[in-house]
Amino acid sequence: MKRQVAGFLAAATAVSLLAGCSTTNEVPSASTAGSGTQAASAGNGSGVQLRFSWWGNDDRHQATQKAIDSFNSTNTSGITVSGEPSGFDNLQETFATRYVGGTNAEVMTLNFDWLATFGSKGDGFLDLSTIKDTFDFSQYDENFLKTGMMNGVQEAIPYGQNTMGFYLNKTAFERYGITELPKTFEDYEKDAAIVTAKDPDNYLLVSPTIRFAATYYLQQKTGKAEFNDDYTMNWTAEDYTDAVKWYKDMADKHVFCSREDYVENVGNDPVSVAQNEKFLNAGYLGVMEWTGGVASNEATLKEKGDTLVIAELPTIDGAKFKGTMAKPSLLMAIDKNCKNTKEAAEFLQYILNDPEGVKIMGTKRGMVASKAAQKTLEEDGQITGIVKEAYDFTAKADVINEVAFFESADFNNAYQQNYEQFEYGQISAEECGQAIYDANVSALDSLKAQNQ
Amino acid sequence: MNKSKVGLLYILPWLIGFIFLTAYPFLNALATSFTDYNLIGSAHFVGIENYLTLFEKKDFMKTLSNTFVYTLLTVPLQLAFSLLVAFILNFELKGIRFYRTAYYIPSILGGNVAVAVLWRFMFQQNGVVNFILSRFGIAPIGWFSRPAGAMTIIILLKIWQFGSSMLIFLAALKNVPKELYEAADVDGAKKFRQFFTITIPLITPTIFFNLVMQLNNAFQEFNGPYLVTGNGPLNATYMTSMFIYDNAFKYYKMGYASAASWVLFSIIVLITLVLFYTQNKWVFYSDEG
Amino acid sequence: MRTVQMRAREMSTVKNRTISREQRRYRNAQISKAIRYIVLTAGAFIMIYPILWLIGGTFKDNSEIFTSINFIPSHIDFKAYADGWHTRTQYNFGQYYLNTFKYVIPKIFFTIASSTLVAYGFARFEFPFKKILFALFMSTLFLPQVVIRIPLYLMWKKFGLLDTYVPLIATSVFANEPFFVFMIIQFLRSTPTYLDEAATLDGCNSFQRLIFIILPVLKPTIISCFIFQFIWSFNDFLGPLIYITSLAKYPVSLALKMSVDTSSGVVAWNQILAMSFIALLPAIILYFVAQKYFTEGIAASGVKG
Repeated sequence: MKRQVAGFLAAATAVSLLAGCSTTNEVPSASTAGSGTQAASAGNGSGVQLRFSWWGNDDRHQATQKAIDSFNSTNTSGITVSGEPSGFDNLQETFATRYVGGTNAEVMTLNFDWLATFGSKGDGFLDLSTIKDTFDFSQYDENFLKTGMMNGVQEAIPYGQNTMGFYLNKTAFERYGITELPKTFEDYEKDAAIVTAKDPDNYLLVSPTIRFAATYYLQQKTGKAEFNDDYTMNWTAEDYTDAVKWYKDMADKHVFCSREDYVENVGNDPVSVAQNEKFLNAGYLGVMEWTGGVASNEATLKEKGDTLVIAELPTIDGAKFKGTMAKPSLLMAIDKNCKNTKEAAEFLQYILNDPEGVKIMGTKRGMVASKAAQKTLEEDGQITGIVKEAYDFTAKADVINEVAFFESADFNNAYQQNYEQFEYGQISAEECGQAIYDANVSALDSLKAQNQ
Repeated sequence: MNKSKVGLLYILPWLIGFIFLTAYPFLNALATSFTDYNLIGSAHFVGIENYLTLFEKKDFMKTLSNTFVYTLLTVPLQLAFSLLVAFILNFELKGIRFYRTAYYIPSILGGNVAVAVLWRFMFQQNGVVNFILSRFGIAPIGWFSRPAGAMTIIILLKIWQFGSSMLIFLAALKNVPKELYEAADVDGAKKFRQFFTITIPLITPTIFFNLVMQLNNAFQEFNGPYLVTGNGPLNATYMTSMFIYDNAFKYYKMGYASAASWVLFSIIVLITLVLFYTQNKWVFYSDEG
Repeated sequence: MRTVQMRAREMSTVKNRTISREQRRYRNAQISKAIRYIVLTAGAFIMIYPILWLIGGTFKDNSEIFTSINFIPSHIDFKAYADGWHTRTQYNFGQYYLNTFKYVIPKIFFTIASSTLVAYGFARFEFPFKKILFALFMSTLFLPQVVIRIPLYLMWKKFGLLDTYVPLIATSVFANEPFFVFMIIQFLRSTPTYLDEAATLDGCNSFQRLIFIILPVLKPTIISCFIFQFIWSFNDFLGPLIYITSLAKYPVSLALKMSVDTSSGVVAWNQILAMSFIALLPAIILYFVAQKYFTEGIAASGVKG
């Protein structure tokens, strides 16, 4: 029963009155989006004002605000940065509205898929090659830096790498008398049999979306990423059929949780299981997740007295690639209309590379990609425990970087909808594989059309 | 009734606001519904393609049928329940203020994080609901993973949050002159009959109001499923409003989302028109003498 | 079995004969009262369980919150309230409360003032195009909101009013929340017009009639508007989320959601629950207090129908 600010127009009177409205009736487009820098007053000597936007929880807010304060008091260029923190709710909607309205902060945090949505032509954000005199790009692995590149333009700096891994509740395995954690999928099947003999509703691994597991499987099977930068795909309908069959088989054996079990105990959408009851009670003995989420999973389990460890990556039979997928956790970008790009770059340099800023920012955003930052954090003793493990794991793992549009909602949706129908017995594996393939083709087509 | 233009003066604030806060953005949305606007890049005119796609694709039709089922089940139940509770809470009992507050609390909670967490607790496999059912010899039900179960959960949630319509009924019941009751015998079953013969006819305008509002709310339901069941198994709790939201802000298909919202809008308006047409038959207004 | 029933029936007839009609009625009233209380209390418990759980949760640690449906915590400690109140931003919740009231109070005031005016206009006057305008008015109730967000946002941007409370208050100033207007119209229409007519004969103009005759009658309805608008605008999250960008202007609803990011790090749920509870308190207290005005209502205010 919310208040409604809505209406529709049928009367000619109102139409004529509408013409008197100061705004025109055209469909909003990017061209109407103005400069995002109206807050900046680059007046003589009065100092430059910049805004920095990010999302997160309290810990992250506090650390980031401290880093901003420290930057404001120490920088010699008279720059004042103000923070625009937000929670996670409706993040995408808020960003889209502000971006289209041209009111986004000058320095902003991006999700990987936003880069693809808003910057796919290379003109959505500032071309960062213009700040290379101020910002030290040499701290970044050249290959990884490319994840922030669209259409050949460096539009964003990846903050850190997220790698897909398997994390196991060691204590729970021990309760079933399993002292050696599984290393291969055969081990997983064997252990799942032991666990379900006692607790038939338990699963070894919860994968927040079947796509994590299926992509892992198909990357190993084909040795290729799912998509290429030019909106073509490397996997066939048969590959997808194979993957959903494999997952269903694994779910029947209680290695991966079934879709039905996930919907019942976690929810409909892929979310962190760190606060999930079944995970905390070891009804799931492990989780397949990005490394960025492992610290929370480990911390909540610890409160229950259980220990989470990073497992060895299992490989499928006849694997062409023995590794896992990776993507940037989040990225930093500068508004394309920003007038004080040098100052914005100084700020980024401070929080991403400068020892002082990096120390304050800490590990609240997961792992850092900047070598300088990594060194600083290690020397400062901030990388310990599971975070340290995650670093070591990432350093060792062979990875395939997926493209930016990999995370577009369309693709996740295609898996979720069709696999669900397959598992609930409404369609066959072949129909499911074909449906996922068709949905991907059409999503790629529209992505391609948008970018020509 | 006064036949004058004075009335126009009174509604002037609304008229001004209507033009720039409502009509303008909605005409904008109507125009968008004929384009392929996707937030970035320019929009191209595509005619009625978006509307055609809506009716071709199973997912939109599925959300419409979900929305209808949800509306048909929640609206009558919630109306009856809130009227009944308002009737009981209208008695002069000791501590009635506490009870009136207690029954309103679920509606104050709205979309609070506690609601989402608790409803999951209640209906999970080893939750309270299954525990109670087991006492009656019913085997545990996977509420969240069965299409009908998930729908039941969000229907119950809606009925549980009946406070707003109860409050409006309560205010209306207070407006029923006491003398009308005192004139009749207050004993036993007669009280019950009085409720139908005296109370209900007098508050028909309020019943009509709550009916229209609840229908509108149910057709646009977003929070309940969004918080508790999401799309549900096999999209069992995927509502049209969620479909619109997803297309606008998850898939950035603004044109498509605008078309969907115009379809939803037309359906609600059509139903409401029918209701307004029937109100002569059962709604009694005092100002008509 | 049968005899027992018969004896019971006999006994009750005996009793009926001996007990006077008055007493019987009194006893029946007592029984029905007791039943009513039992039913009311059981219902109330179901209704307030979530809030009990929420209060209990403020004293629990994370794993206890998410694995127990019992609302009684294992220990009592107000640290979560203190920590939550201070937040980890530069401002504490006091500031966020102040910000909330900066737009909630004008919103309530304008809602009541302009909705009453508009409802009065629609309910008590005939004027040109009334049918069309009323149909337009009603249709505004039904439009899905999602798709107008961006055009509206761009409009406020052109007016240079982003990051102010103006976009949030404007809808109330212009009575563009048809829920309230429609509610008042329905109440007015169930109120007899002869009082207005009498006042007209006394020489009151239309505005005086509104103030002296209509407003007193509308009191319970206006209180309802007050409560609804307070609760809804206090809890509204999407509006402020889009329009308010600087932290210094954040209202409670935004500040509350700011810490609920389950995707990163460990969330201190007891602090979130503590602050949610504090955010709910004003509405609960307001509702409890405002009830006095319902119970008076029109029936008690001397205006008889």
